[in-house]
Amino acid sequence: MKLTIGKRDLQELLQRCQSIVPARGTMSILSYVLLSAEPEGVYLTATDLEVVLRVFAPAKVIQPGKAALLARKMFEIVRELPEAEVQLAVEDNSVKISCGVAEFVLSTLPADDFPPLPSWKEEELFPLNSNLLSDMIRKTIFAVPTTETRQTMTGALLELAGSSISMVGTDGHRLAIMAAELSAAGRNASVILPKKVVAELKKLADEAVEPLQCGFLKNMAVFVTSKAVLVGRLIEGNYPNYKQVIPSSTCRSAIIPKENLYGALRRVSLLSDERSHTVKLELTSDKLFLYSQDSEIGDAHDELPITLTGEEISVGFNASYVLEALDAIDEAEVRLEMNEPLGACLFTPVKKSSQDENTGEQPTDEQPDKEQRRYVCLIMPLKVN
Amino acid sequence: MFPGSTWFFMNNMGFAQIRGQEKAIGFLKRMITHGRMSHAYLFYGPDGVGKKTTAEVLAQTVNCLRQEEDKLTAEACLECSACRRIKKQIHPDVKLYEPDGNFVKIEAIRTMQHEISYKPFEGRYKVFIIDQADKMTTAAANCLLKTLEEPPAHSLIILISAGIHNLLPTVVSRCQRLEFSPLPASIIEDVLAESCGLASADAHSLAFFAEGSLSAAYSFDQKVLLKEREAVLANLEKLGRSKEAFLTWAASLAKDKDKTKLERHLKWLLLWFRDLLLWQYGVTGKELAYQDQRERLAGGAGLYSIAELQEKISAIYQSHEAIIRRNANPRLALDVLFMQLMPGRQSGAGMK
Ligand SMILES: [Zn+2]
Repeated sequence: MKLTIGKRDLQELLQRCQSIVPARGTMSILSYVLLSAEPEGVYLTATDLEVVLRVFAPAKVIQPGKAALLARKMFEIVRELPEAEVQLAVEDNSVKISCGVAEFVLSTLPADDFPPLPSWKEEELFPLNSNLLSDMIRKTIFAVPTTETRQTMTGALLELAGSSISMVGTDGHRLAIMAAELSAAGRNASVILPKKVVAELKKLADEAVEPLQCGFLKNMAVFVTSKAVLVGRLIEGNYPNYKQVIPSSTCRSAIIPKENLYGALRRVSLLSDERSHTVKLELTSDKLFLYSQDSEIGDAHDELPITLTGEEISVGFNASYVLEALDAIDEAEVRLEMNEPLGACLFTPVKKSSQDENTGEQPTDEQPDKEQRRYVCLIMPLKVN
Repeated sequence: MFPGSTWFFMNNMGFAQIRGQEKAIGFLKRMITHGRMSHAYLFYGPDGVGKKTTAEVLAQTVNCLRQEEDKLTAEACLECSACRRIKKQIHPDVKLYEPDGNFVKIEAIRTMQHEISYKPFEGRYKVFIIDQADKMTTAAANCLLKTLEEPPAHSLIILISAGIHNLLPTVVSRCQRLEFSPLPASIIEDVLAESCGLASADAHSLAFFAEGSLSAAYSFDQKVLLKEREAVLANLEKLGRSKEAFLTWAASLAKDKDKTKLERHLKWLLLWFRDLLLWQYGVTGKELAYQDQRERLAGGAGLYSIAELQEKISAIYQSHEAIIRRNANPRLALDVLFMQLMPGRQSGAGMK
């Protein structure tokens, strides 16, 4: 194998692979990237067996071929090279990296040792709006736990049914659901994507200018852009039946300015119990009172004007859960709904003008948005006295 | 490399190359071809008889790329990329867990539980091999129990253990059990002669020394062992002639800080007295470890009665126990042992 590539291009490819390559592990092949030189350019593949990322850059390929290169060392070397063309030549079990008069020789592993990408057909892929995907991930990923005894919860549920799409994350104490309508009917699928896959998918969606080409294979999900391919391994089993915890109707509802609630919560939670982060919310017909208490340090109190429909109520929350839910809401006002002090509490955005929604007209100052996006974050309250 | 098993160094081992386990392997093959694979297996039996190799070949068989999609045969090709990577232990769907120090710890089981929760990376089954499963801590075994109770789809757990008595009964009862037998010395002898190019007399002796374990036979430094066998024979020759020569031998053995050499000598000595005893009972064929030393055996057997031989054998066991397990002074223990081994202790030395 022999090729020439710009230093900047090669560095970018290697840089992109670094977050995938595991820091340490039992399988040494995973600390390598697979370099594949094809007539059209260079592909680099990295995997931790949870996600596989393949990135591409055009290059002058003199002789095509494949080899596995040490990911970290390659990156460190290329980063220090001067801005110029870099020559890579693989022979037997080593790669020679030359740039100007500088020369490095690194040992390689056979390409066949590297875990293979799954194969898929063009017609298995369908387009998904990258901005929508990114938005769905941002609004649900925080609820996905990193460790959990129920393994099916350690991923986000992505469901496609006809023209609707939804993403769900839950850790058993809270639940975030983002749903939308697609302009074109998609496919039917229900997959659990590991948290790391979802995080990498967001990166891919954020850097993509075009829609992502998506495909759900037997054991993997595939996302393709013009520059990269992301393959995510799916989690086995059935996602918890989250729908049963969502109340079908609520008898109490309050509309609260989001920024005010956010600020008050942050302030009051400074004196909340260090472990539970409990903040007590007392909702009256026109005011919301917030209380916290750390038995060893002291207590705090704040209040905001609100409008409440239904009877007055006191309820306790883990303040950081509420703050994360508010972070996921872009609208200026948030609606808080519940039935009883220890029942599920719903946080939903209040759309700017309910009239617009009813008549189906586009909001004038916003980008036209064909998909109707719906978001809800459910939080289970804590016991307070 | 691949700790614990030397079988991996052999080329392309398939089910057909695993010797002496026809029953267990026949059963597995039927399960595979009838599509009636269990989620969990327990392979038990003596060390070094092919349990781990069988587990690896099973992993190859279910994940071989040349198998048809929905109808498995009992033969892996052993050559495709998947078979090759399973053998090299770099296949994403085949994982081996071994004791960390003296125990298989709960951390290892947790790692396994995390990995088993994914769908397969490329194969049909995710295969998890837990070697020396009897070394699982109680916490690890209880943790594993949860997975055995509700095994995720496409998973195959293989526990490998010397016996089943040191495992939680609840773990054992949730696995399909497969017993592996000790290998007859004749199989080990054949394999040693074929793959290591040993003379048949040497292979025969080493096979007895290996006590039914092929991996033990492979891990020996064969040249050193055969030399030690010669040394034992040469010293036995002096037995009954010169006490001094015997004591010099004891001194030289005891000098070595590394007790494994002494242990090997004792084992050769034990095999010798075992052969003498068999000889007394009229055994003169392949069952003798020192088959090529019939003349000497005939001469030696005449020096002792059956009762005396039984006594000497238990004396060797006792000194082994004292030196290796109870840290007795090797020099003292060997002096005593060698005096005990002298023929005709009461009637004086010198008879032949
Ligand atoms: Zn194969």
